[in-house]
Amino acid sequence: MSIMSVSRPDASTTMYKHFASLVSGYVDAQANQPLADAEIPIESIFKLLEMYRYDAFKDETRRGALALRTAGALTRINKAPPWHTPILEALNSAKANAFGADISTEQAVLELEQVLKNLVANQTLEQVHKDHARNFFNRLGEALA
Amino acid sequence: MSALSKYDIAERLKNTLTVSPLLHENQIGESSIDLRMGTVVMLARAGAQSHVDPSAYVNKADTNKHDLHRKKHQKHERFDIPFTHPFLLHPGTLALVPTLEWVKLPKNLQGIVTARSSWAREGLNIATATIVNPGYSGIITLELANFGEIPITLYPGLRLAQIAFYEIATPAEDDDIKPSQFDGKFEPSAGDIADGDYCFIPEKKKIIS
Amino acid sequence: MKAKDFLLNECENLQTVLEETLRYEYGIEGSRVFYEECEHRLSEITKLISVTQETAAPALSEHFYKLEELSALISRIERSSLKEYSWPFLEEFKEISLSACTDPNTTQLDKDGNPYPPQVHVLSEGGLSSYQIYVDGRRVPSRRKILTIFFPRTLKHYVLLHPILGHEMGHAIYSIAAHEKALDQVIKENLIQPSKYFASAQNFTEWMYRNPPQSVKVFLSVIEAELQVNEQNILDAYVDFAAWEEEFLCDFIGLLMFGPSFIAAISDLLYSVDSSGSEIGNFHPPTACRVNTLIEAANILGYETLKFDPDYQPVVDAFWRSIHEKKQGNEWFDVFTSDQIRETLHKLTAFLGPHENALYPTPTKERVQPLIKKLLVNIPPVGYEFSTHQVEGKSKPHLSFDENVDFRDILFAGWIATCNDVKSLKFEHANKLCEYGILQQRAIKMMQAQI
Repeated sequence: MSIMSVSRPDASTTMYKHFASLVSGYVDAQANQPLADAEIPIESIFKLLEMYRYDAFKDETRRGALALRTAGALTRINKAPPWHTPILEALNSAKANAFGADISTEQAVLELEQVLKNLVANQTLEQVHKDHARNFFNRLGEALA
Repeated sequence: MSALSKYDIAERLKNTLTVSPLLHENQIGESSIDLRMGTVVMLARAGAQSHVDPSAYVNKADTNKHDLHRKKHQKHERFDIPFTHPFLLHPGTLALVPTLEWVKLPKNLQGIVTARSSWAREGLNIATATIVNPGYSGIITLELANFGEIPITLYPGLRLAQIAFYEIATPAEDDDIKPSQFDGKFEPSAGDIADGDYCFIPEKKKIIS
Repeated sequence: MKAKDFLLNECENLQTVLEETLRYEYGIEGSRVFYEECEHRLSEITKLISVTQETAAPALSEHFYKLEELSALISRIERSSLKEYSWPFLEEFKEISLSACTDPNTTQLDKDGNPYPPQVHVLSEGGLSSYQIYVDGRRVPSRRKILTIFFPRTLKHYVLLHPILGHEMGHAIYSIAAHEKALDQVIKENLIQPSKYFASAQNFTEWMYRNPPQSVKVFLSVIEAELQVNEQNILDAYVDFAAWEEEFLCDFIGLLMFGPSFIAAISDLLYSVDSSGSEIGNFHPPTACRVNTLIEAANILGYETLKFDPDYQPVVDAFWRSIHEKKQGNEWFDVFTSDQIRETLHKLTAFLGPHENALYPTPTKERVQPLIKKLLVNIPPVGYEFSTHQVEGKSKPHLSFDENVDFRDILFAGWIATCNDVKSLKFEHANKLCEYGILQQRAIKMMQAQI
């Protein structure tokens, strides 16, 4: 028996707040400055943007195909509140702040994702895209608790 | 007992003899078929026992089951070698390796497995000429030994051995074909060296049932 | 030791463990990519912890779980070695599935601008229900995805049962955000919303409680007595219907990836867990609903209409009889119509189609019958035949190879051969012959590529 209960209210908000702050800094970094250490923060933020783009926030621990019951016992399900609610609110706030009210989520995310790809590939960013991205990630970091 | 020629082998391969698969026609020699290395290697573990002793195979009924299985499984170390992965056979080492091919002999043929001379000249040899009994079905275990002074790199799929076929003057009857301890196996295993010879092994005499 | 210091100390421990894993080579590709990926992840988590205040309890708790996930991953990989699984099967499985579970949208691109496929590690685990593909969660801080495939320890060479991994691969594919959206749409529009039982919560509870079979009634009374679950709260307290949708989806994906051997494998395995087929799972629909749906799907895909020569048709018929014997007769278990299943298969075929080799090619007599023939005479099934032909008046050997033989054809033939009433092939032996056949077919492909 485990020595402690392990219910996991992990929304990863601290992680995303930290990564958003890092990525905002990377946006202003000069081109051909190596960003080897930046790959995980950038890819993690990219994956978050993908979830935002597709409104696809399912992220549960998988059980095996034959694990029809949990440890043989009958149990109720535990419908915890969705982990992503505070993060989704922060993303919406950041989008509105950086892009204004008229842009669709798809358009905003595609532009931001291209910025992130360019960062990893060490390619120059257009100033308008840099401004959008910096503002977005700054606001995201502020909005996350 | 006459050896089969290339023509005879080809005729037999059409129906009664199976060596599957032959990957290239160059595997069929003038009077033999080349055999390829399979993807498992069993190496005798030097530290697992102090010496080979036939008496260890006697009196299985008296032997503690745990010890019996432990001795069996710890005697050889098993390696899985996928295609294009190397295995290094060191000098003085004996390795049991299955053939890639599945072999099925009719009742009137016997097979003799020897090393290919090109490998023998590098120091790689089949430790003993393996006899494949009439009616046998399964992979063939190659007992590879490195008689050279330097290690030899082996890759699964390489043609290491060859099998020649000899007609049996009087084909075995079904009743005579006793399944050997190696029939139908998919990978090599060590044999029972004391089988049927217990009366000659001192100290531990087994009642032959 | 304070919480933050303890976590930082654990980061150092994990670095030591990671270096110790380099004592071994893991799987066929070795350990380099895995080591570098885990080292990057550990470095990132260490930085996260370092910048977190000691007083920020929720944040430290969050980091604890991230560290725990990475620790679990590394220790799993430590146990992953070639001896643990059937590598011939795994190599083929990777070839049909890696494209579909590669995230097309990522910053991690190779020199040609293509996304890196996931790293795959394999190990065997205790317990018959161990079949699983564990995928990094979307919130795991990572560059590249790592997939860990689990086989039951006792079944690691039972290749005829491994097609169940097609279902698990469905979950891995679904774990990609873009795919989740597309696949949800397919299932909802074609299967769930048109379904008279699942279109709404009310439809569901009516189906569940109005006139279920006796075996289901018994189960419902048990969960009411033990868990206070009833008609009013079953969808809140007991059944996660979104998970049920995903299970139906993954069953279809498994069938499209593996063909008839998938139905044979999953029905054998599921009914061994729940022989009544009636258990209502939190996250899994009743087995009988799933198997009945799959049998109808196989019928729609035309698998049963494939005819063989008179020498082999009886054993093929015996195989399909054995499949149909697993269909539960009570209509309660037939939760979808043929049209709903057909449309869903059509849409999922279109989804998987662009991914090379993901879809099981429609089986043909030319590919499958020779494999059955070999199995019935105790020869590993491969696409190879020996004959002779005349060249300038002399008889010459002629080797013919069918490179189109897919390892899934070998599995299909394997299941058929086990249904031979005349001289039955023991299941364990059939598995070994098929595993060896998969290995040999790979050698054939390699040699043909050389020529």
